[in-house]
Amino acid sequence: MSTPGAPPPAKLAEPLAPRPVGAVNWSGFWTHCKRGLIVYFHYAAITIGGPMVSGLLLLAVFTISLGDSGVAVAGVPFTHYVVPGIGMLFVIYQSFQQAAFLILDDKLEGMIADTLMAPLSPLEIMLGYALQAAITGIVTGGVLTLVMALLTGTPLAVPWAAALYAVLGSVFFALVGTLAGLWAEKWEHYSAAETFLILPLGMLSGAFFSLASVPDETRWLLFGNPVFYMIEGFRSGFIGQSAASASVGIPLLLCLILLLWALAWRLFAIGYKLRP
Amino acid sequence: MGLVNWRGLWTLYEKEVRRFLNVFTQTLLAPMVTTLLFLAIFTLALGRSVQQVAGVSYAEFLAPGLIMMAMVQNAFANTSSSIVIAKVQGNIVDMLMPPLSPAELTLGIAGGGLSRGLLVGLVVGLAMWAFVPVAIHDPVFVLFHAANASLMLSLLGMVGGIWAEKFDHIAAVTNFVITPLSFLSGTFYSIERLPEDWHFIALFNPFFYMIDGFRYGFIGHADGSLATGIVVMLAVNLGLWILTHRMLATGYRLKA
Repeated sequence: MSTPGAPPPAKLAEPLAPRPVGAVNWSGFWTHCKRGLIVYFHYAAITIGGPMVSGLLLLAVFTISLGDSGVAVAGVPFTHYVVPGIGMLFVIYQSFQQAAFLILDDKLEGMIADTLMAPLSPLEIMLGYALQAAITGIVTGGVLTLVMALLTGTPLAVPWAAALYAVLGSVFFALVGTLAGLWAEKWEHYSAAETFLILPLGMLSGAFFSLASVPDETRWLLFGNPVFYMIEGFRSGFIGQSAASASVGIPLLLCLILLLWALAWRLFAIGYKLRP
Repeated sequence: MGLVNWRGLWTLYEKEVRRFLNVFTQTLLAPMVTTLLFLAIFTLALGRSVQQVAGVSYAEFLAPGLIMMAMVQNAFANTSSSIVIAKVQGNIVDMLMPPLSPAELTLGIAGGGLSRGLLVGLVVGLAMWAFVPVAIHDPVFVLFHAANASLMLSLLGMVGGIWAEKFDHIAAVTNFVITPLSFLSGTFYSIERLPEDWHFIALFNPFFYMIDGFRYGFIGHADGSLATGIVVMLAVNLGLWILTHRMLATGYRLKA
């Protein structure tokens, strides 16, 4: 049968053995994370440049509107007060958007099958989506905060506190975004979650105004809002003081993160809105 | 078919309006929520330090600016997204093939954006009315600037949509041109707050005139000249209309 000159038929390979994967499929997990980050950096003009412009615009209109009446809030100039607030808002918005957008886009384009078929456990899939989103939130919010702090001369009193709360806030909203992405079936659902949940939570959190400027009877709105603790904690890293106590904020945020984590893990494990 | 293809024009307009009414949570309710949130944070953050602007309370000063901001952003979003999505998905041919002249195309699509702008303005205005005493000083100015600003941004959205080749392009225009102009042109502060050297920027900025004139219709105070504002708005709209018409007539980035 063999034609002269053709290479000899290859020796039959050993039957394919399952590729051994340890307790954690590190290479698969990292590939899964990297995909979201590549998308993020490819669209840096929109994912980093867009929030940069919006954040600086907010800072500008607040500063110009206050003008010479630039009163102090909590004993520091208003600009120093508002810079960490705006920065943290963009940490959480970006974390949420990145996770929810990527999952929903994967679902609508049918690409989610590639992720579900890969030898990744439900926990690895869920963590991969959430981790890459949290990283993008820290990058976008971090770059914006740095630029605003340099422009306004905002001090960085307790760097570790700022870093800790940036991580807590981004992980929290990366998990919320993961859940929203799982739940959403079309873009309308995604933007509804963003407009009616994330935007109000972020805006009505004390990012722009102090607890003292809120009437007594509506303060529970702030105390009941997890974003309030993130923003006050993040701000304490800059101006060195906070209206929310860290001994309440940190345990509360950790508990909520644990709950969201468990819920997201469970939903990926049962294939909620992922498998028929 | 007569001089004007009335049925075709109406069908195109109806399609543009139904397109945004179908997703009214995103196109009408979302701007309402966002604008109310802006009202809340600005009055809470600044209400005590900025007592009076132009003779009225800060909330009364801010409300017309925010209504105008919502109108222009939504008018722009309506026409630009309509054209970019149609181009990316390829169904733009359904608009270009029917017996519609460039003028009818301009009118139908811009009419959709104009309707969205006015409807958003109405919804946002009514919602604000529940929280801020919104009194109307001169309804003629309110209507004139609401209609002209919505039309201007609808036409700009068409120009942007025709120019853009992918979604990133139009997102960049929104992020780097439309949002900054609508933020920095007097929505949140009286132009007197700006340093003297910056005043000239306002004088050449149509966004300043639309916000200033619209606000005059509510509070009866304007920073700039009302007559100049009317002339600028009409002139810019005429120019944009001719540009859009020309783009559709030559098929710039639309026809091979």
